[in-house]
Amino acid sequence: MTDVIASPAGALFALDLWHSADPAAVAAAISLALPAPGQAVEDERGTVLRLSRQRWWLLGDGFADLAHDSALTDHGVISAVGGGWTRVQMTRPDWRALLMTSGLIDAEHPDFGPGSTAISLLCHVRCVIHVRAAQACDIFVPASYTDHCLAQWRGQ
Amino acid sequence: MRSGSGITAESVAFSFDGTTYHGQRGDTLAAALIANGVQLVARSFKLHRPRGIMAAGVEEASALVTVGSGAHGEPNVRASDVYLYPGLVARSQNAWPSLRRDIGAVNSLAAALIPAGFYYKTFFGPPSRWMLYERFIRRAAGLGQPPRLPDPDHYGHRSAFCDVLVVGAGPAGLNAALAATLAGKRVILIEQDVLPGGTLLREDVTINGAPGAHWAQYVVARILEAGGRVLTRTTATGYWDDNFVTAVERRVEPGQPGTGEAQVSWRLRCGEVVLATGAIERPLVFVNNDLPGVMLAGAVRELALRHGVVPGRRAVIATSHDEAYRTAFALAALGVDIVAILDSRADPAGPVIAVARARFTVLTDARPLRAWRRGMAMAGLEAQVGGTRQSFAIDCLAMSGGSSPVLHLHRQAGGALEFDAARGAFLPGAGRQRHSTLGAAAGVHDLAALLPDATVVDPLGAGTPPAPGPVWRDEAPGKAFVDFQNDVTTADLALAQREGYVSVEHTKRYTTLGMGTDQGKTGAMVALAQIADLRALPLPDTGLTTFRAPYTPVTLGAFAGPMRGDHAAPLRRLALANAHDALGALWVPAGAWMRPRAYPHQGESLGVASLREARMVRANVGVVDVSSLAKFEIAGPDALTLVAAVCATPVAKLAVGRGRYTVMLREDGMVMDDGTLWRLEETRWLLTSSTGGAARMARHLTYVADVLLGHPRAAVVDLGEHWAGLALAGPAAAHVLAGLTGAPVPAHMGLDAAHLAGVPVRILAASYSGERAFEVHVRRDQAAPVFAALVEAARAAGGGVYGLDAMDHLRVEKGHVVIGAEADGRTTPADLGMAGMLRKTGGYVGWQGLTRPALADAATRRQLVGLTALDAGAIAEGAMLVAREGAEPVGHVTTAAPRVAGEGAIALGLLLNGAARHGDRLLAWSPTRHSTVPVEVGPPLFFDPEGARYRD
Amino acid sequence: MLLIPCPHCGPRNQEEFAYERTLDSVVRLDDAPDVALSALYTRANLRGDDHEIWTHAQGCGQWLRLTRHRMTHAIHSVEPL
Repeated sequence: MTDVIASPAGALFALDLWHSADPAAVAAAISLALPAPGQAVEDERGTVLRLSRQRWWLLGDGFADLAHDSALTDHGVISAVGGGWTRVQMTRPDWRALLMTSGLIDAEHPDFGPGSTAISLLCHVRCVIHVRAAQACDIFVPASYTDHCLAQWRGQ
Repeated sequence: MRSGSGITAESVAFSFDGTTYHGQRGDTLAAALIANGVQLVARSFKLHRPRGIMAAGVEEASALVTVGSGAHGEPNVRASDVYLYPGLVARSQNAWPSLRRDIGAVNSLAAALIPAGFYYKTFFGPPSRWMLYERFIRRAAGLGQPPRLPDPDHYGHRSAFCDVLVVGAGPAGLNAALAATLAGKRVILIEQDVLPGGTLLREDVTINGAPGAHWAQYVVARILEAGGRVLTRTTATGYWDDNFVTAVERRVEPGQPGTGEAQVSWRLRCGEVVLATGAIERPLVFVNNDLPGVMLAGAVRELALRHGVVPGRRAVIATSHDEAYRTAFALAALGVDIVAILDSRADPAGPVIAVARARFTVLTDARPLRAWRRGMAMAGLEAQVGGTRQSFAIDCLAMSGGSSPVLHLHRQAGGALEFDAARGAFLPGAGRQRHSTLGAAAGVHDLAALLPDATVVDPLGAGTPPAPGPVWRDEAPGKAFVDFQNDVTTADLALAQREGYVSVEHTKRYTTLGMGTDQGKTGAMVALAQIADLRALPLPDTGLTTFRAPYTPVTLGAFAGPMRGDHAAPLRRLALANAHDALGALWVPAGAWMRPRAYPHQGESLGVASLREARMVRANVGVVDVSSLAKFEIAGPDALTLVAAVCATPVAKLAVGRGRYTVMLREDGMVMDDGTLWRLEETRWLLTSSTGGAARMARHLTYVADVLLGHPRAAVVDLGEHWAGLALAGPAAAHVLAGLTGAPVPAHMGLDAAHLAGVPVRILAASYSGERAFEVHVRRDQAAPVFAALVEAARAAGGGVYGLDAMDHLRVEKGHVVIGAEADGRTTPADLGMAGMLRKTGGYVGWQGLTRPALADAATRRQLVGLTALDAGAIAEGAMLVAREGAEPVGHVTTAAPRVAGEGAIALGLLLNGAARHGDRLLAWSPTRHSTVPVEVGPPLFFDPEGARYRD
Repeated sequence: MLLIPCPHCGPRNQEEFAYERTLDSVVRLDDAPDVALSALYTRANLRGDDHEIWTHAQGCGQWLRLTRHRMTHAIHSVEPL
């Protein structure tokens, strides 16, 4: 089915800031927007998703250089993690209903719109959800669970 | 052609016990059977008494049938809770050879010999007696037979969130759901019936000028239009913490084949819950109150007004309140002869009574004493009328002993109950969660009060709220039932009281009151009234049994949903799964992972293949996929602090570019996990640990960092999925790897970066097999060319791939432990011979636990040993280590293997004081596997004790 | 199923969380052995509010301190650790 496309996450980096670091200051120092909880931002370099209190995901080749930027490495660390994740792009209009068959997260909530992110269990697997547009949602699935999740989503 | 509020003119053919009948679309099986004159539908559970249909909904206790054939068959379906579909096939249960000639009915004669508590009484006396009874008890247990074939239906799971969940689409629920929807809330309305309306389907009323059933449809349309969600044929089965409600939606009827989802299991998280679950009418207690033809008055009214069906030609109405009078008018309108209305009250008054007196014979201070039958159905009734007894020749009795609000969900939610003496019923008290109760479930039956903003026209007017009559005091000899499904009579309740089972929870277990699929929906309150009378207590003081989920029985498939077959649990696939398949891998589940166990040649057994692969590694070189191992990077200025807290071995002096074996302990000092620790950079470490412990280790690392150490400047990055791992082992491994990378290989326990097959890789020189070996880490999404190159080069050097079993054989020979086998959560590092590895200064998780005095006594510790079979037999894993068969075990076999270098069987085991028992001879005894092998105890190391082979 | 308000993710279902232990059973690395063993093996089992450590294991991974009633399951406070 063409409206559920899976591919390796590719250039995906985890940015972990120390507990004591101020995200706003780091963001200013490296000229990178670090979105608030539950949010993602996209620009020409790629996408930045907030995952937890001090962790962001940077998706895009443009972020590789940051790993050696001392403005950042004094406050945290960047690690390549893309080999471990599959990006499942759902472009079907009923993606929200599909998520409601797979997990217990309020994907139908009016506030869960484009630019939203969440981590939750889908098909019993911890997945990262990124709402890209009203009718497009990316789901990052641990790579080894890809077939398991796709079998459920493509069977619907 | 019948007409009614719930049926259409369409004719639907169905069969019952092999005979074909016709009903109308919208009929329940119960209505259609009665319309066809079928009164005898079932035999009762214990006594095999003839039973008919008594109720009109999920509360039907007696008329359980099997619906559907073959794999689609569904047992114990309430005949009043399945709606006709073309080709419906129903069969009676619990009767042989037929319903009419049921041999089990002799039980009814032998009933005096099988009293309440019979089951428990069989436990007294000699065991041989229980062995005899057991056969009969087991045969009698259960009702319908489940199909023996796999369930062909599909079941779905759905979640939904709402501001307001309304349970029940009767007048109160509809009104609440519409109001909430119009107020802009996210609303879900669920109704267990196929139609909305609840009692409106069985009452002759108009609301805003429309018949009640039409008004219900109109309200549903408005709710949908305003964005609400309405789920019919959906039962709220459980109410859990924090307004979490589970519900099951039937999309096809029981036994009905379909292509889509037969049932959907809903998980609902609700801001607020409105329970409009209605009430269940209570039976009256008198002798033979279970005969076909004796029915609940509300059910009779529903048959008449919803289905246009009359259950008899000559009827008596027996009641203790006004509401059941409505049944007389409904039946009379269909031409039934209302012989009498028996009202237990001495002096009832009110509008409906006045109208009834004008049309029917109304007898006051009157109640049924005994029904009798002709053939299999009711033929007459003896009643107490004032001081006299009167008999009536009738074929139908519509009875009502009050009604019980349906408070199951309210109670499951932790809500309180309040006893209302006038109604003789429990009403909902304060809720513990955000929920409220409306309508008949809250004791409010008056439509005009429920719908204050609507114009309600009820020709009969509102009556008194339902209330019970006097309790039964054995005024006539014979069986008077309180629980129809479990054949519990008033005599059984009295016996339980006499024998000391006075608590209602004890009475329930002793008599089986309120058990089965029915869970006391009709009988519980009636029984409580009887018990209260026997004990001379006010009813609320007798206590109440617990209301447990599910409210109605749930098909097991609905719980499983799509998680069945290959998807019964999430399976993790290796990046190289296809490549392993191409190499002929035989797969084995290892936790959630599927891993190659061996790569057997044509005609080769698993054991032979594994041993061949292991010997290939000893002789030459082999490649094994170790991608599922856990891998964490710990990076940051304070990384050493975190690593030192987690690892019990010395870490601080590890040089950059080097690694070492390490163990991680639990706080009680037991080994939690083991692995290798590598210093990638001054402040960046790589920790590998066991496949099965990966999730636990991920949690442990962040626990230590965030909770114990207060957020050191160190990130824990789980790279278990990011890196695939391929181990290359054997005397030729260094040569093969150097040929592929074009660079010198790292020294033992060293690491290096390299390119292999054009892909950047990290090479860790660590050995698990005892041979010179390397782990090649490569991004999962780039692993395929690296694996292909390694396999090709290994083959060119005379080696090949090996699987999990060969890896296990090799490590047993070297005495390496596995988490879950040797490190089974009860072993300390000292038990495993690792005491010397630990940091002397402590400071790691578990150091305090190791000081427990009990751990210091070697005589009480099971310690790791090697075991060598003294004969040709293979040692059984899990076998006990004993001095002789039947003796107290002194240890056990943890892993068994064939010798790779040499012949014979070896094993690792845990043995009391084992380190001091080398040279001892014991038996590895497994009575369950019929295996006894003499073994000699030795050190847990069978090969290359100097470790010469894996060093550079 | 409990609904636990994660300070980072908002209210989420219990199945995303893992219970770790009561706060009084935390063993600090520098606790003396007798203190550590007492925390591990001799603990109160309160009928009432207790402090517990949980983690949003299947979500953001945040460690949490919950004040939760042992009888009613009511959660009175959730703080990030």
